[in-house]
Amino acid sequence: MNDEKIKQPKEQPNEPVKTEAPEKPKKNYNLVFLGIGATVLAFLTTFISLKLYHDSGDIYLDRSRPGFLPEKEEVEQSEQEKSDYAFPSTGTITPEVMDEFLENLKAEVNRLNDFPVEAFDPNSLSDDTLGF
Amino acid sequence: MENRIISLATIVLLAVALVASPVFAAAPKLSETQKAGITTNCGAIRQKLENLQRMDSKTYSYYQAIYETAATRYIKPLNLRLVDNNKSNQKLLDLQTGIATSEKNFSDDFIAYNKLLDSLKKIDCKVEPETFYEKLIEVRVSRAILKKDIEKLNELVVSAVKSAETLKGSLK
Repeated sequence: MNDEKIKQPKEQPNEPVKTEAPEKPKKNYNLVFLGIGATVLAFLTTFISLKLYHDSGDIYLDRSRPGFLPEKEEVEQSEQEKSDYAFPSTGTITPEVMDEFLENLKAEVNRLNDFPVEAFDPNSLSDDTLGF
Repeated sequence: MENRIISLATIVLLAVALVASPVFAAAPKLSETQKAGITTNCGAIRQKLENLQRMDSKTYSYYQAIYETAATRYIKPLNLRLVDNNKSNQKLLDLQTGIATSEKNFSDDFIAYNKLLDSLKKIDCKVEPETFYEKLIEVRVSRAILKKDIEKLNELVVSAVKSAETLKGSLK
């Protein structure tokens, strides 16, 4: 009879039982980086487009910029003068058709004489006008 | 002998360079009265330039709209209709091209003029009246070009009317 001694693990006297602390979940900063990146990209593209807008000179053709907006009277006047007529590009060519064409074209061309001041009058930049 | 040829060639080249070089007209000298006037009225001058720029923008929009309407709503469709009817008119076709080219030149010249005007406004006329005056002369030249552009476009549009009248006469 062999007493098989059941080997019992040796108990270490009075040793504290080591238990590992649960791992804290790692903070995910991806969303923050995405927000910062999107903001930076928006600023960059806005800056580039404004620079192109300014450098190309299109800003000078734009009357919707601050300080250059048309006045109320100007808008009302242009609405009154505006004609929706457009000569049709199809159809026959007869003297009556040309009469209609000329009547409307002349009305448009006559507006060239209606502007209240002389266009790009050189005197506007003269020494006297500027005051020296 | 060779040295003589080289020195003669050098002299000839120098002479050609001097004769061929462009003569730059010196900017008109600013009198003391003008200088004093610019420095004293700098603020008022700036304000006048601002007002002028606004007025010019209005002028440009007004005229450009008329030329654009004449070209796109009248002359171009008339030419298309004439071609459809086998009655194409070379004069009207040339005028259509001419107006398009002149409109582009007008826009480009207006942009150039405004850029010069902006750079003029940036100069501190109290501190640099001479620089201000030199730039003012450039702006005047640029403005004169705009006036010529408008005169040319007016001529083209009036020519288009006359050509249309001639065409009408030929249909009777």
